[in-house]
Amino acid sequence: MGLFSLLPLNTHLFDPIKMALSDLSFNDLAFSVIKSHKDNGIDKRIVVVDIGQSSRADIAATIDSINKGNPSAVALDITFAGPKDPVADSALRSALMNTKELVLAEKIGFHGDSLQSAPNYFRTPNATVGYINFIGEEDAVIRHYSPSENTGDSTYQSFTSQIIRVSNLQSFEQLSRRSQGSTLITYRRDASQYLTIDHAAILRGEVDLSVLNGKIVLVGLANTNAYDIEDKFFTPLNKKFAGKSTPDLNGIYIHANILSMVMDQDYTKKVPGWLMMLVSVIVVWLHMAFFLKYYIEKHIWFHLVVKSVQLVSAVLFIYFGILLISKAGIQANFTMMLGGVVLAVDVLYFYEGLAQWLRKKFHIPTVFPGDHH
Amino acid sequence: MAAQKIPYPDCVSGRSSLIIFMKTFLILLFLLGGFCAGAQDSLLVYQLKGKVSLRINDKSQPLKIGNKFGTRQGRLEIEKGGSVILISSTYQAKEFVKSGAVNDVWKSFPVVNATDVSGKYFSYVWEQFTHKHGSPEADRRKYMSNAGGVARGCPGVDVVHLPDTIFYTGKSLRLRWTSKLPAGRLHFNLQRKGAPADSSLRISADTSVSLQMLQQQVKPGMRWDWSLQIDKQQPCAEGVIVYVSPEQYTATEQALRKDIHLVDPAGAALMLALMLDWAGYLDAAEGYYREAAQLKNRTGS
Repeated sequence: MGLFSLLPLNTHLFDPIKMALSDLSFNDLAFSVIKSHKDNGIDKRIVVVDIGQSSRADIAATIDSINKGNPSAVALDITFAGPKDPVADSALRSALMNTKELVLAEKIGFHGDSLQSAPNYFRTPNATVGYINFIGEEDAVIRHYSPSENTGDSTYQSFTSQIIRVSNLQSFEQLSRRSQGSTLITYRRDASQYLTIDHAAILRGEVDLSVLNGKIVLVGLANTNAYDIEDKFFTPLNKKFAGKSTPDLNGIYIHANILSMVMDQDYTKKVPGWLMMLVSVIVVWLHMAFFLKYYIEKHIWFHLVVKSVQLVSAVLFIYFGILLISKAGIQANFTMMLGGVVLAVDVLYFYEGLAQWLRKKFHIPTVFPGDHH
Repeated sequence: MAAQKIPYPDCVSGRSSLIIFMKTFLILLFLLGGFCAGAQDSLLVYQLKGKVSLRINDKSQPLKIGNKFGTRQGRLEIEKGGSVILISSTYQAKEFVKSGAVNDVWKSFPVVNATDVSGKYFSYVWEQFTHKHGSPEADRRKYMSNAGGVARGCPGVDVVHLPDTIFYTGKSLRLRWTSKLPAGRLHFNLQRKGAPADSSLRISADTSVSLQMLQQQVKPGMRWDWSLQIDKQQPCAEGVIVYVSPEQYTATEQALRKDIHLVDPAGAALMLALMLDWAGYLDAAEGYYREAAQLKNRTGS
């Protein structure tokens, strides 16, 4: 069965199920259907300030107000490409200069081994800068991010790593000790589980700024309008588990989930591929032995039993996956196991034909009686 | 001893017949595919300047606007100073100013045209067959092209020359700007003041937009809010378009003319055009720019 994966051609070209489910992980059911993340409550360490479509002058005034709340870090999840209105630009630069623990966002790109960043126009001397890229195909579910990137002798920290560094050094050191590179994001909260304040409410003086005291304040776009997809991504929290849907979570909330994960040391562990392969071989072998018994001894019931077992096994595999991710934070990929069980019947037919041919040609005995079914 | 002719068993001859049938079928299939791919190829004469003709086998046929030709043979002959704009079946337009082989004319258009169903279908099949599905975990840098943050500002878009308020007099007007963005990312939005929000107009406009759409419902005194946006982000530029009545415009023009003390008509027209431009009367200014150019050509000054 493993030989199928070695075919150099993509044979799933017109397989609608494969196309629909190509970006699907059954573990997502734990969030989208079971909603296990709802048990986690609100993360009170992080406050999100929604800037909406406000002008630079408004953003400057908002930051001035936020600074009065004495937050542990102010992080702008906004990339500013260049100058606009000189008066507003000056006001924003001044507000940023007056911010104590400031983190700015930049987007990076790779050209071979070299890293290039699109500089933030408001990069001030007091600011630390981190990249806001996630790992994921275009229009695919965002499951991973990279805490830092090394190029030659330079290390670039991600936006969230820089926030952790300026606000919680201990967590940053723990994060740095972990192996870097592709890291699974543990989604524990959706947008409603972070305190989100509209910048206009701050400007109107409707917010008690003491709520920001000692908190990480993320400033960016945080809209809940399902039809506005600016800066929104597909995540495992999406209400629609499979098929076509709209992006569900703003980038700012993905950063918030990463921050919660790092501060709680709540990293998702992944079962190694070799271990899953070993377990898959054993489980598929057991299924095969069971199917073979019915195939030879009770053939009349064979198809009924096989379909029933395949259905029950699929339900159980997915259930184990959900249990592992929800209760233990362990991600196991049961796709190989599921594929093996589904393909078992076809492989059994092929194996019987081969065994019959070997018996006729070389008189090699086989458990299959007479001509194949 | 002469070699004995062994007749092919039935199954073997049956197999060769099958192979021949399959070969014929495949050849016919490819021929059909090729025919379908080529069937839609043609060029339409969209615009002509001077004398342009198509010469095939010593026969010259003068081209007219609206002519279509599908041949790849012969020669396109363009007289000195002439030009022709051809449109392919994919609606791509190219201007030709020099005579040349028709085959070369065809080569300047893409080989597979956008409406070619067969070509696009088999390209898709081949692309999908050979597409390697990578893994974001295995090669993360390849998949880090996104950005989890909102972008503010309009990199690569230069629109600063447009005034905040444009006074529109009902003539044809095209607003222009420069953009280094990929096609389809810039949008021009128009919302009439006082009209319901859902009556706004949003069109893709990479480098310019014609304000002819306003002429459909023009009434002096009407005002529109306009903005230029990348995707659905914050506007790169925004302003107001005010439709002025002929009386209002005449009064403005007369007031401006009082400050012009040039004797040269071309110079006076140019000065008026510049003053109208600065005042935001862009369509009126365009008319005087043209007039100034014509006067200059006529007088040679």
